[in-house]
Amino acid sequence: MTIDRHATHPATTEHHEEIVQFVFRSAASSGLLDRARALLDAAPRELAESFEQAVRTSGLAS
Amino acid sequence: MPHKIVVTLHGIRTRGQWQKQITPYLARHGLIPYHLDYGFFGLVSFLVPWARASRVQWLRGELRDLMDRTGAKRVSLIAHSFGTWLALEVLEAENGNIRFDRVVLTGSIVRRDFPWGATLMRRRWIQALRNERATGDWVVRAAELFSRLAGPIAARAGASGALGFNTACPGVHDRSIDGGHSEVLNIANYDKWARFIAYPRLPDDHLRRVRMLVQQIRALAAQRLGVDADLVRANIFVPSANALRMIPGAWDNMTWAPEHDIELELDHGSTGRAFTDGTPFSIRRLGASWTAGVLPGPEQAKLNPRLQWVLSLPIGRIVTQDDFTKARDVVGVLNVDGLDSVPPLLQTPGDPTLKTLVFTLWASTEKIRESLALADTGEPLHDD
Repeated sequence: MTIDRHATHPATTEHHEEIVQFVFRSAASSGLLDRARALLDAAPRELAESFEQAVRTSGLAS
Repeated sequence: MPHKIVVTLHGIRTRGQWQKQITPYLARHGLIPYHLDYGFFGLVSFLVPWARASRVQWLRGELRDLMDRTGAKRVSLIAHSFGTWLALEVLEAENGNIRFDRVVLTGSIVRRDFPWGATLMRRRWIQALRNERATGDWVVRAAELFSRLAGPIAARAGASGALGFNTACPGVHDRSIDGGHSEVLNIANYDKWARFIAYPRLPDDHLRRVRMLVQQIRALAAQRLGVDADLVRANIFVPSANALRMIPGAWDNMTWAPEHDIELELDHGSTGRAFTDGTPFSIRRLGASWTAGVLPGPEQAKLNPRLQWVLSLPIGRIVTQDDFTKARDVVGVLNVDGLDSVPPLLQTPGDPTLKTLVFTLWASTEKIRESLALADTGEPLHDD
């Protein structure tokens, strides 16, 4: 899975804030799941379980 | 978030003993019961059009009076049998002047083709419905049969209390038991009805789990962004009465009290965009103030003035479709935000490290989604 792009939308006139949209593209595995799991290595068990539940139900792992 | 008023309404040939029994269950979830009693209403009276009409008028008056005196914009409702019919007749007759918050129908004789899509979804006359039916309820089947046979003089009644609605849509929750007309008024259900009506206020079991996960997500974000944890906060917004509002207590380190009452339009700011688009958004302050386009003035005034950045994660079923990963059936938004300064990593939105972190935090909301989805229908937390 690869992350495809992000979009930046500066405010139209005063440029006081920046909104970024995170878009995740799932064409092929890019190691994102592995990196995410590594990030959760030292995290509490409940958080890692919640993540794995999302992975199971989303089709991300296939 | 004000405490909700729950009107209860009994059926025919009864004075509603269950209305008294349900009071402690409602109180346990911070709800204010308001029991209505229109006296003993016999089967013969139900068959007489003017007798039914007089009860509809009575209920319109009672509800208007209640809302005038309390200032409530909506009331919730638990009704049984003829009470279900009365309530929905009032809803249609008032044409939007009286609106319900969350409604529980038990032993419903409301017609099965009631236009939920229009009243609930488009016009927002009701926020959500739980139809508690009993498959062996012959009373509601008889009401439907009579309605068909008697033609124009009959009440527009149906067997929705046995067979359900054939016009169901999102926000209409159907529950069934084996049993008859009165068995649906089972004391074992009272707590679930109270939970359903209290939403988005969370009952203790869901709140404990959600708060724990919110704390853990906040801690992980602070650690990976390299920020002092005291400067990072987290909260959850869910839709309620046409706006996004924080779930009371389902937050961490939210010590600026005015923020607890912020109301966001469904597409405002990074929270609103995450809710409507189903993808994560972040927003950061670049100058001295946020632009006026982000929030309406009164809501912006509630923000902690030290707030510098927000990361908004939609809480929904994360799915991969058409090559993109998005949240579907979004039930809310988890915001992780920060005070005083913007972490360097957040200033480089294309950085793979940031994107991995955003994805990790986002996917870690799954059990929060599960709890919110259960709480929205009144169901308790299942044992893991």
